[in-house]
Amino acid sequence: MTYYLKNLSQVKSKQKILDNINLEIPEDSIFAILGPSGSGKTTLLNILAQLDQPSSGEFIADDDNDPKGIMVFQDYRLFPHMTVFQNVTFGLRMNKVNKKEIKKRAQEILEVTNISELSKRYPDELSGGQQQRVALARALILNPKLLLMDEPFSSLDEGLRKEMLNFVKQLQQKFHLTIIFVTHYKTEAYLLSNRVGILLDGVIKQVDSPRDLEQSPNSIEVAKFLGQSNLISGEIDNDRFQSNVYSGPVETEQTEQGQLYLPYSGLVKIDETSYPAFVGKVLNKAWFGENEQVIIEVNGETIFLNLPTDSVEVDHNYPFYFKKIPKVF
Amino acid sequence: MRRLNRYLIFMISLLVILMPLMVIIVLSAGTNWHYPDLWPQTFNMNYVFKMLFSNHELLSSLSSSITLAIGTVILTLVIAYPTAIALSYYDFKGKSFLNVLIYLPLIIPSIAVLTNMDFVMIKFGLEGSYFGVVAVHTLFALPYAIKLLVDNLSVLKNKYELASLNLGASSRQTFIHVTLPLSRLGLQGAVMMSYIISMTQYLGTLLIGNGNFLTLSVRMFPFTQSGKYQIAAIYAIMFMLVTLIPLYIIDVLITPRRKEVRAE
Amino acid sequence: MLTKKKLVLLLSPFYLFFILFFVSAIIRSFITSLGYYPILDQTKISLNNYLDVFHDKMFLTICLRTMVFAIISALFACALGLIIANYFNQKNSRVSGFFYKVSQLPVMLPHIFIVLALLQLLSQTGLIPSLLVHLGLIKSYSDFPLILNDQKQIGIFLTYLWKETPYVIVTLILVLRQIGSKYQAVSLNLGASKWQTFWHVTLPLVQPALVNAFIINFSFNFGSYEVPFLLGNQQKELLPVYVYDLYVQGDITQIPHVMSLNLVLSLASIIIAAVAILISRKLPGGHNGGVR
Repeated sequence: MTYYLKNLSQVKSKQKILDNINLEIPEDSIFAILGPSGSGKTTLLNILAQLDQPSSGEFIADDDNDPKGIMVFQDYRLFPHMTVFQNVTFGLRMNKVNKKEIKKRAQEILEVTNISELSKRYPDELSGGQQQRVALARALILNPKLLLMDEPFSSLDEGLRKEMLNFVKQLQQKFHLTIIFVTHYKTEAYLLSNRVGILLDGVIKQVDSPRDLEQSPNSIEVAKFLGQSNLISGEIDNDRFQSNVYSGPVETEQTEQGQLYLPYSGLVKIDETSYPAFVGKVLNKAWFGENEQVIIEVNGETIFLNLPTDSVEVDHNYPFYFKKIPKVF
Repeated sequence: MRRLNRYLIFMISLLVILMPLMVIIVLSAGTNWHYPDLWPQTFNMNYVFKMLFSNHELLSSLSSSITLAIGTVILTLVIAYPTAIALSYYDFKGKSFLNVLIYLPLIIPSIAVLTNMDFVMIKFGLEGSYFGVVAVHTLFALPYAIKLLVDNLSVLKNKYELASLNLGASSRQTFIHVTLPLSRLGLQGAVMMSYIISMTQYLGTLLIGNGNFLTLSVRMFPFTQSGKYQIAAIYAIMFMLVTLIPLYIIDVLITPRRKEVRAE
Repeated sequence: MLTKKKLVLLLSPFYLFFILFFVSAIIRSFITSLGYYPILDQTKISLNNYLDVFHDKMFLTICLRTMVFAIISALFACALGLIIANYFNQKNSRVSGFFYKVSQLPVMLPHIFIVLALLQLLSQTGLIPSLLVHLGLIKSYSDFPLILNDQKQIGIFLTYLWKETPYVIVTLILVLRQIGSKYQAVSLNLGASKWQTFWHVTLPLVQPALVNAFIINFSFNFGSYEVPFLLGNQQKELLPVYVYDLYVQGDITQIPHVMSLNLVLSLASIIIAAVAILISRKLPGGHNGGVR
């Protein structure tokens, strides 16, 4: 079952929060919506969860005219007055499922989410990771076709975040869930999903794989939001770019002025290619594993690049090359 | 239809809440209002104003009400503020016991509290004294004042105090520049509540005061009892003038300018 | 840092005041109730006064009547307040904000206000009987039922309802605002109906605050003098009036008896409050004393 968001808009007190969102989300997949806070992510999820009505447009599925996603909230929102067991079975109890069935399903789901031994505890006696598992179990017990997750990992610490990320991936495969989740952490989105939609100011700017997003963002807004890139101002004359750092052929739709997009990784190389870029002096470098962050001075401008560890040395000049013709916005 | 329903329920609730006040206002100015008239035959505003501003009895009631209320506010704050700071900032032995103790004056029937207290005040020689009455009023104001202050203070805990001390401020400076401004809302609530509680006390004022403090609410009783509704209503008007107006002013003038202090 | 000195400094005003006026009063009346009353040259300690209390049919009847009345009127105020607070909490915030302000009025005014208004409205020669006569619904005022100073305590009940329902509303609106709509959103998203959401989510979350309001209202209804004095019925006397009359009638030999009554009443009140809190703890929502 494929889900469609068609011309979805949301206007609240004359302010456009979502502007004409069109998306197609195939079943049995994880779709990430990546955007800064205030971009309308939560508003969008609330509409998919039927917690809010859009001002125009619709959300439909192949064989369901009124699909409803089950939500895992950012702050988990475990009912503070219920035990873990009561929280997890809440949806079933409200739908008057018989007690035997509830017990059986609860046992299964508590086991899958690995919280069986917590079932008698109250939320205020749980750690952050445990609370998230309970929130997941509470949603999963309803066998949702569509699971919504609002910033699911943002309040977990580094190690736990990786663990939960993998856990959600496993759950998705096990239950063949369709998951839509929103986040403002790039790495979270990239690690969890093959298709990422960039939401900026209520508009979906680009939907692509993580790799394509990083290497060819389709607009300067996306490039700026993704960060990890240098933007160099310059002038354009017949597809030739003129600037302090680089002058030469570029790919562009601009005619007079533009900004050269130099991501930290992927585009600029130290190995020779047929696209010479610039000559620069290495000012400083900082190690972080396979790569080093290198600070380079080119004609008085400072540029950041991630290069393989020990490929350059401080205070030396090197020629740099592009992997392909660079882009100017 | 639904909207109409809501509107109707809202108006009915409003009417029920405000009805007694409207009756009192009409009562105070209406003269010759006898059964079965639905409305007073004449209104005499001059009489109301004359009573309000020059009746000796009424003005002396007003002054005893206000002096008792001011005393109560001060004594309540002196006791409640440090207690609330201890309860919301620190953990100590006997804290839950203290939490119960505070509410006892509200739980024990007031007739029992008052007769017991009167008995002890006679022994102390405080019966009929200003301090004795203020102490009774304070006893009933304390639970509310402490609760309001604790609610306000425990939102922030003492993390800002710790920051201030760490930055080199003395305890006194910390109190003046950090604790006091942060608890302004709680203090405002405690002041308002203890003022109201003092103003509305009847039996405590009469019994412990031994009849020496005939406040507005005390004097309203004999008038109501003997059917002098108009005079009782004029006392009620004065009561509202000196409670609702100052509280409204405090609320409106201070509230918009305050910086909301919230927990994250 | 919390030093012992600082703690003593912070708590001493409260303890000093409390011990001096409150605790000492209770201890003194306890000693007196045991029969130790030197003014009358009585120094023999015994439990006779307490035994008398439990054999005093008149007192027991009045006590039971007052207790039932206090519980019923406190329950009514709580139920009505809960319904109204929940109803207006769902509306837009401007309406609920205004309503919140208006509800504070009865909390700030003394009981005598509503007594005065009720006398003018509901006594047999009051405005409402007049209105009914004008409308031709009753022939004369004597057809109008006795509502004030009646045997069923309707006048006192109405007075307490007018004072206490707004108190419940104000308390609950504060709690409801603090909780916000987040748990309701979860509940609806998980498939619960509006009614289920109220019953299983909202009510348990406000339950501890509601029980607190109940205790305060009950204790007031049980022990306060002024309203039963003005609107009560002589045949069906309520406790506070009974105790006060005994205390002020000037018969000094009655003092130990009054003190024992007081302590029995205090104990009864504390027990009822404790039972209410225990029930609240056992009910859904009570496990950690509610939302903090």
